[in-house]
Amino acid sequence: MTEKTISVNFLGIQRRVTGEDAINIEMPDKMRVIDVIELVKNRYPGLDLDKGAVITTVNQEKASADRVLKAGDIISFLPYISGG
Amino acid sequence: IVVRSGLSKADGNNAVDKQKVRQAGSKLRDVITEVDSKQLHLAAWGTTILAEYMNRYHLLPIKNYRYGQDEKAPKIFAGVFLEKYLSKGIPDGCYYGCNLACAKSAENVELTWGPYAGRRVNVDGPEYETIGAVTSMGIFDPHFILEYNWYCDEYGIDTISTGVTISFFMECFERGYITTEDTGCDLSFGNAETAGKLLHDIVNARGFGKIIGQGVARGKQWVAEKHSSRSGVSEEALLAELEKFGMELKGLEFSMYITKESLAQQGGYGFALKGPQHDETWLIFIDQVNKELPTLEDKADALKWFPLIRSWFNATGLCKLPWIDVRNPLAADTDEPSKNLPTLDYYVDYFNGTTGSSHTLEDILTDSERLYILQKLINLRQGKGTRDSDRIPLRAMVPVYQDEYDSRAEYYEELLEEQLGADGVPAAPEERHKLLVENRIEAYEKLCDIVYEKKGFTKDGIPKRETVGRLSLLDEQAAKLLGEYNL
Repeated sequence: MTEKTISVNFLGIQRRVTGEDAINIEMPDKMRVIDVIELVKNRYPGLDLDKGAVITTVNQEKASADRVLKAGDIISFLPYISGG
Repeated sequence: IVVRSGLSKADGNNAVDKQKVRQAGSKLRDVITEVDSKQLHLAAWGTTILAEYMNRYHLLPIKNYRYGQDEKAPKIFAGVFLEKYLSKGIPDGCYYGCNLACAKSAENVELTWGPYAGRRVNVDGPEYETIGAVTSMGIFDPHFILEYNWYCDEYGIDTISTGVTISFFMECFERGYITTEDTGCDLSFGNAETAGKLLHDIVNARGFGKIIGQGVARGKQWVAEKHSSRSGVSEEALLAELEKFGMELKGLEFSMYITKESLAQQGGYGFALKGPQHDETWLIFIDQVNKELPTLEDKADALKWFPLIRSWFNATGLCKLPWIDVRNPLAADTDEPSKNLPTLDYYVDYFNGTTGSSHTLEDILTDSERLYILQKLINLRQGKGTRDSDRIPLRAMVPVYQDEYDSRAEYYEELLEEQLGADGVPAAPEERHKLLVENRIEAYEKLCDIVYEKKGFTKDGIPKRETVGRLSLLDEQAAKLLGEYNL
């Protein structure tokens, strides 16, 4: 990653849909989580990132859509895992 | 009550209202069909898919639950099993008619060690728990996982207890409590050859396998006695040390999740009636990642509700994965999405259609609570029913030793600063570790207090007389038992 990038890590079925393990995104000023979600959805229309399907985490914790990101943040889209 | 039945078949339980049962099943199938392939994809990958998520969120129980993540972990992710081992294009599922059908198997796997080396076998699995158990031994070899799975099945021993027990002794070996003189082998973490050999020695009560086969609870005592006789350190002091990382409670070894960062799941393991397995409660993600249980009250409410409904699934012989690991899109519009109530409605309908009753979800929870308290009373009678029996090992709460703390020092420092302010955090890493340990022990005790209150127990974790009476369980035997605790 460069100084002004964030990373989106793909997990499980997402890697098969995107063909990637992770992508780096050059950040504009005040990039929010929702901006990343939209960007990823546009780039990979086959990915279901709707609120009911996944939780968006930033650095391994659930993040709100309007959270402003900082350089080096790692975003993941976590399916609901509740069972064990 | 004993029920005798003929061969299992789809309508073998003679449902009162078959139409209602079919409708409930149809609704569940529609949700699974729509959603599973976009979420965990359990139908394709089985629970092997969980390994990747657990590694990502520091939950894999690596090296006896010391570390949650490892750079070697991708070797045992689902894709490896799917591409190289799992059978495809055949019907699977552990139960005829299951809509999720997430039980996978690997055919024609060549055994490379043990008494059947050279034979090609079909492996029923692996499930995530078996993968986790092998990582607990520090091993990241998918073929070993399959062989370990097969042999454990063949011998009728549990993959979890076996792996966790071997891991415990691996740590004892590493720390010098036992030596090659005791073990007859190099019992280092990651030594797959030794782990494989010990599996057979356990079953044949041979060599050091005879010691390992006793499990962690008795194993701790054995190690304490052995090392005390050599070192002169008291057995009591040694046992206190071994109990910090001996991952068992109520005599059962822990199942395969690190709970250090989830107070709710620490309770989930601690309060579980049969011992620290996640059958009753699995709150790790909604607590640690989703942050849906921010207060002690929230955690305690979850620790009351989830065990009741999850135990109900067991009592009725139903698998809970189609409910709990496939999130119904309708759940997003409810107040508590993690309970996945829209899908639970299908199960209530299924139950009522089968039995001819008109239970509500609340009725079902009350039935389950009655069963729960009965089991709790049995635990009490058998000496495993008080607060002492709910106290989890230190490693289930916090990094035990400095190297474990240091492996995530930055994370813990941020956490301490968040909780105490920058001025409240000591400068020295050792002091920070010590503070973290104290805080975590205190937090767990507070959790016990509030959970017991929610469940209608005393501060010592014993069901109060009125709780037992409310559930129509206060017979002469129960009254006498409670009387022994002055209740």
